[in-house]
Amino acid sequence: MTDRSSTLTAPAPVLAPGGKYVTGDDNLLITSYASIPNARIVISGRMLNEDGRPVPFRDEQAANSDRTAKTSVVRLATGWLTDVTAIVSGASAQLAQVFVRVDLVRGDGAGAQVLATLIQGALNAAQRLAWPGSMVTSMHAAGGALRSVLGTDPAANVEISETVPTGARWRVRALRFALVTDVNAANREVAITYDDGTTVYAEAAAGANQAASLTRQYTGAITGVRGAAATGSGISIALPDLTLLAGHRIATATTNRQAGDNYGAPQLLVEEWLEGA
Amino acid sequence: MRMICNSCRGEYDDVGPDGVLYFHACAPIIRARVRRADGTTAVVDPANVRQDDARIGDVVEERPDKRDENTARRDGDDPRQRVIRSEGKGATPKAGR
Repeated sequence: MTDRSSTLTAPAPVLAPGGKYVTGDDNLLITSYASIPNARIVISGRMLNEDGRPVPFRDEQAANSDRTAKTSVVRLATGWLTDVTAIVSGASAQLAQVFVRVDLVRGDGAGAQVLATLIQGALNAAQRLAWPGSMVTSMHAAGGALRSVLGTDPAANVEISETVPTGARWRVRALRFALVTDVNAANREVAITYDDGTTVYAEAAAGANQAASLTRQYTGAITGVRGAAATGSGISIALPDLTLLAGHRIATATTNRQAGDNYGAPQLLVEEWLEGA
Repeated sequence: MRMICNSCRGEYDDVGPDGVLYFHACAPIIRARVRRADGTTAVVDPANVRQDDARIGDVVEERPDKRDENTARRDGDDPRQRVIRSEGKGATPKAGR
């Protein structure tokens, strides 16, 4: 009778009952999306090789900062994949600013066949994702990242217009801008419009006029009500609570705008999710 | 870096205060559709609306030389290769910044 303990260093399936057996043709495909600079996705984990010995691995991917997909491959040896974990290094990110997916694939390059998705979700430098353990979640599973965005300062006689960037989804929570009117007599009324890149689908009017040679500060908020200050320069606009896709625009539309009327740069508070591009 | 769009003359920073890239896109041109006192309709610049005009709507037109710095996949190439959507007249760094 053969003593098996003397021929097998460690019976791997017993040591790693939850592991996935992978061959030398199987790899990990890392796909990331990020909106911040210098984010590196650190992928680490452990395999049990055919001798039954645990072998750690670690790899990094520098994510793109323009919300476009970045892919790279982590090559695996033959054995049992037992643990994979992902975390962000090199950047301070809010949770919705970096997203990663780790697929088990057969092969490499464009022809790689996805066999399983091990990790998918948002992460940052403090919150890891892990397989096994973490749920596979979407880009919109949690709240978006809060960002204060300084927009374009338009030339005179040009409306404000901000476009939701490629690969993003915005919920505009508030915005503020100034309008300086020229000397031409006319009552201007400012409205904030939302369009899909072509057609306006929502509009919120100030409900207050601005006459010639005045400077007024406009504030829009989704929890606000419209109204004008009695003696100050503020005018409030109630914004609709909408989620805008990439390419949609937030703009002003000014009734009786005159050639010398000049908007300042808008400051927006947006909740941003990655959309993938 | 502070930039000036050569198409619309708008000014913007190409990187926001939070370090996130900013992609400028020119504002469209908004014209007023008006009904004139004689009953005809016309599309005019908002600054040229007459006192006896009735404004009946807006016409949104893209600027013919619109600049849009957002990116799109380049047809026929590696899908990872992306190009700016519309160059327009380009952008110039603002002097002194």
